[in-house]
Amino acid sequence: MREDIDAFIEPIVEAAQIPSRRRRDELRRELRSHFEDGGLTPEALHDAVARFGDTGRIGDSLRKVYRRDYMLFYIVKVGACIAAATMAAILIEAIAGLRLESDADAWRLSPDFAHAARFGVVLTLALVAAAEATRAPFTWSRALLSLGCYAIVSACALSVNANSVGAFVTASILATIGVGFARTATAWTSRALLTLAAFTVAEYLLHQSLGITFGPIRALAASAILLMLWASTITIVAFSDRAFVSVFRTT
Amino acid sequence: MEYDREFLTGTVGLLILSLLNEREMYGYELLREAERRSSSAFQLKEGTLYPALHHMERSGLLKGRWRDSETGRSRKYYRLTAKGRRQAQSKRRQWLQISAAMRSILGDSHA
Repeated sequence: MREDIDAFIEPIVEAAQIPSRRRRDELRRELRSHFEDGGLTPEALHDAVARFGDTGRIGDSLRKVYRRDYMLFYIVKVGACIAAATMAAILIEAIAGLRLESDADAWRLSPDFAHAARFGVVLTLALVAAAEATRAPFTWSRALLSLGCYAIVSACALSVNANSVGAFVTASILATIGVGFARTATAWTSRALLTLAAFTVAEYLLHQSLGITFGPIRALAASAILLMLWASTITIVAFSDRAFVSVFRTT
Repeated sequence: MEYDREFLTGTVGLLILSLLNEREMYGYELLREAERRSSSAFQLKEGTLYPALHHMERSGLLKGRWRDSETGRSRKYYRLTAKGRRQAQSKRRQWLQISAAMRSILGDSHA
C-alpha cells in the first residue's frame, strides 16, 4: 500500500520543482501522512485518491508557490555555467597563445593573448545565451530573457569600449552557427567537422568584409581554437543542464 | 452540493486562517473539520489544500512543525503567526461585510 501511495505522490513532488531536498522530503512526508490518515485499505486509498484531485494541477500549483526558489537556482546554474565556460575559454586561449621564445628558452604568452581571451569570453557568453534560448522545451519567455540579458551585457560592454562592437557581432554570428550545428548533427565527429567548416567560412568572410587580410589557412587555424572553445562550452552547458534536472529527481 | 468554482475561489485561504485561528491543525484534520462544520457543504478537492498551506507558510502567515500525534504518527501541524492572525481578522471582517452586502442585495429570503 505504501508503494501505491508513493507512486501517486511522486509525480506531484517532481512537478513542484522544489530545489531544496529537505523541502521535497517534507512535502513527500506530508502527502504520505495525508493518505495514511485516510486509511490504508485499498478502498480507502481509492477514495482518498478520488478526493485528492488532479495531480498535474496540484503539482502546478505547488510549482507556482516555489517558483522564486526555482528561478534563483536557475540563475545560480547559469552563472556557474558562464563562470566555468569563461575560465575554460581563457585557459584554451592561454594554451593557444603560448609561444616558445628561441633566445630566452622560455614560454611566453603571445601579444595577441589579451585580445583573443576577450573575444573568447564574448563568444562564451554568446554561446551560453544561444544555448539557453534554444534549450528544449523551447519557451518564448526563456528565449527572450536569454537574448535580452546578452543584449544588456553587449550594450554595457559597448558603452565602456565602443570598439568591441566587432567582437560582439562576430561572436553572435559564430554562436548562432555553433548552437545550430550542436542541435542538428547527431555524431560528435560530424558536428565538430561541420562546425569547424562553418566557423572557417564565417571567419574568412567576416575578415574579408572588413578589409582585413586573413587567408583561409589562418581562418582555419583560428577556427580550430574557436572549435575547442565551442566544444568546452557546450559540454559545460550540457553537464550543468543534466545536473540541474537531476536535482529535482533526487529522492 | 456542487458549487460554482468562482464562488469558492479565495475562500480556501479564509477557511484555513479561520480554523487555525482556534488551534494548530494538520492538513487532513483541517479538511475533516471544514467538512464537519459546513455539514459537508465544503467538499473541495483535498489536494488543493496543500499548495494553499505551503503558499501561506512561505508568506509568513503560518508556521509548520512536525510533531507526533497521540497515535504516535508524525504529522505536520500548522499554526498562525502574528501576521497570520492579523490577516485572519482582516479577511473575516471583509467576508462579513461582503456577505452582508450580498444579503441585502439578494434579500433576506434568498440568503
